[in-house]
Amino acid sequence: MNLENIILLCKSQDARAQKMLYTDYSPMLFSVAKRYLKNEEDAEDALIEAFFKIFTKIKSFQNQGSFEGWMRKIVVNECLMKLRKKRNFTLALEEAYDIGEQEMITPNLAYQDLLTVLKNLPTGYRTIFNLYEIEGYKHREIAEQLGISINTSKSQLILAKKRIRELIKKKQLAERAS
Amino acid sequence: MTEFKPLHQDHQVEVPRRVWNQIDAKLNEQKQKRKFIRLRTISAVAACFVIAAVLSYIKLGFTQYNDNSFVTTESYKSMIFENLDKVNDDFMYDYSQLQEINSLVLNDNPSFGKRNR
Repeated sequence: MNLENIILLCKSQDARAQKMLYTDYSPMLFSVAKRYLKNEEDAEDALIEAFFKIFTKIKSFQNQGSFEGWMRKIVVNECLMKLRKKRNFTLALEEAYDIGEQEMITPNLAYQDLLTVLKNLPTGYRTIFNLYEIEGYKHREIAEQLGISINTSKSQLILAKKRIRELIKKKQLAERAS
Repeated sequence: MTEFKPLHQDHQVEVPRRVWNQIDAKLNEQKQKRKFIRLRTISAVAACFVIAAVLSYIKLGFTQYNDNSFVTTESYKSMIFENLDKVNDDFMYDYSQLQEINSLVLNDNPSFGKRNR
């Protein structure tokens, strides 16, 4: 069954189609949630809420644009809501004040390594890095989404990259030593 | 800008089975809720119909009772007399005859029906 048919059946609340959609997309969407939320349980909760929203709001999807993108957006929003609820998000954002030079990070970082590095980042850095570098949001969109200024978003990204670079160096040194 | 995007955007990880179980449970719960709301709406509408029917029945009953029991207007009186005029039964007097008898009696004996002091 192709995606269009699955969507059509999901719109009429067909349980089999819902299960098919979940089977096809949950692994990818769970990896999205895991990048935003350190805790595995939180990521699972976000995924549950996101899929519940996907299935209940699927009628509002008008087949304009990518369905995968629409689902991904719901997961990201759910993760951001979880972060806001925990209230550690704004505290981490306040750390941003020093804007240095744009740091380059190797993009060839393996997923597991990236996940480990991201887990060690403050929530604000991690969120903005995810939104900008992986999801492809613009600074203006990030600022609107998080209720911060565009400059804060930019500075957070630079600081996040700096921290990632440091963490990768540390990891490499540790590997060489061992 | 997004050098990580192609490498990590579509990465997949295994999802625990319990996640689907919870989603399924939530969806079922919502379905039940919807059913309950639908049932409640139907019941409310049905109850409104029953109440309206009962009220209209009661009102209709009273109106019929009033119509049959009391003659209150002049039009009703005339209608009854007209009907009486038309009755041509052995057991009933004709209304015109009654009036005639009445006038005859009153002419012959004006104090008829009045008490003597």
